[in-house]
Amino acid sequence: MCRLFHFLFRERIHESVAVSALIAVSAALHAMWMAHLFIFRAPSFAKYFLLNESVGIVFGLYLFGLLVFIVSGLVSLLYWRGRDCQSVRDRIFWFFVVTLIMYVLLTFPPIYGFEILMKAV
Amino acid sequence: MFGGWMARSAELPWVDIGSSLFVLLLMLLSVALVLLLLSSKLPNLYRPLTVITIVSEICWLMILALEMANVKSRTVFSDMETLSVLFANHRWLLVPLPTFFLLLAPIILLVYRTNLRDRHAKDYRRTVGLSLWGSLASLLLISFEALL
Repeated sequence: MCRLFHFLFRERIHESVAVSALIAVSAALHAMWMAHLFIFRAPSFAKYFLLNESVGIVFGLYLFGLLVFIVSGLVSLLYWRGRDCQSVRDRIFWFFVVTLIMYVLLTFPPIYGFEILMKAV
Repeated sequence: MFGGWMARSAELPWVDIGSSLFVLLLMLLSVALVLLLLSSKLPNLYRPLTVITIVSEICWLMILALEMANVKSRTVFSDMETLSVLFANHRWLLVPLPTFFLLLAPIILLVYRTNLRDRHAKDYRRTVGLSLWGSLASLLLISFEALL
């Protein structure tokens, strides 16, 4: 009897959960730096992120990142559930590393504020 | 921490809750990094490591809640005005890094448990390490920029 239900209790590694978490964090960080850059370049867009007057647009930005994290996590969990993640393991890790580097660079004020001024001759 | 270092309303006469939480968070992260280094030899250390990362995330969210509840407009001095504003924006943008990293590390630890030291879990082991080091670095950077 125990052997019959053994499959229910065997220790499994749910790699799809780990892969989904990595994808979700990467997607959220990408979405946040893009949204921040977009707000910086098009200030009229900022009103959609101004959910709390005292904290400012950063509060809306955090909520947006959280929303992207939850949605992309659920979608990738549904996609990877029961699939073999072995082939994508390495690529997703490097996607995460590249995301981290991009986020750190593209939220640094001298980089996102960079602009070339053209003078009319 | 984000300028006005900690919440006025959260200050008790004998202790500043925000600063205490921040010090506790730094201590927890330091312990987590040591445990991560040791976990390659002692796989059962994943349990305290998981608990510490979850407690760290809770501490960080409490610090954020205290800060957001007490944000006040700050006076910036003329010489440092541009620099202060730039760094004020930058440290708020660094906040998602420890938030997401301290969420990612316990998820991977709960999934892999003692198997984290296996050969096939190399990328996940590196992810947990990167998350913990990244959290500590971004927290130190946030506190350093608050001094400017």
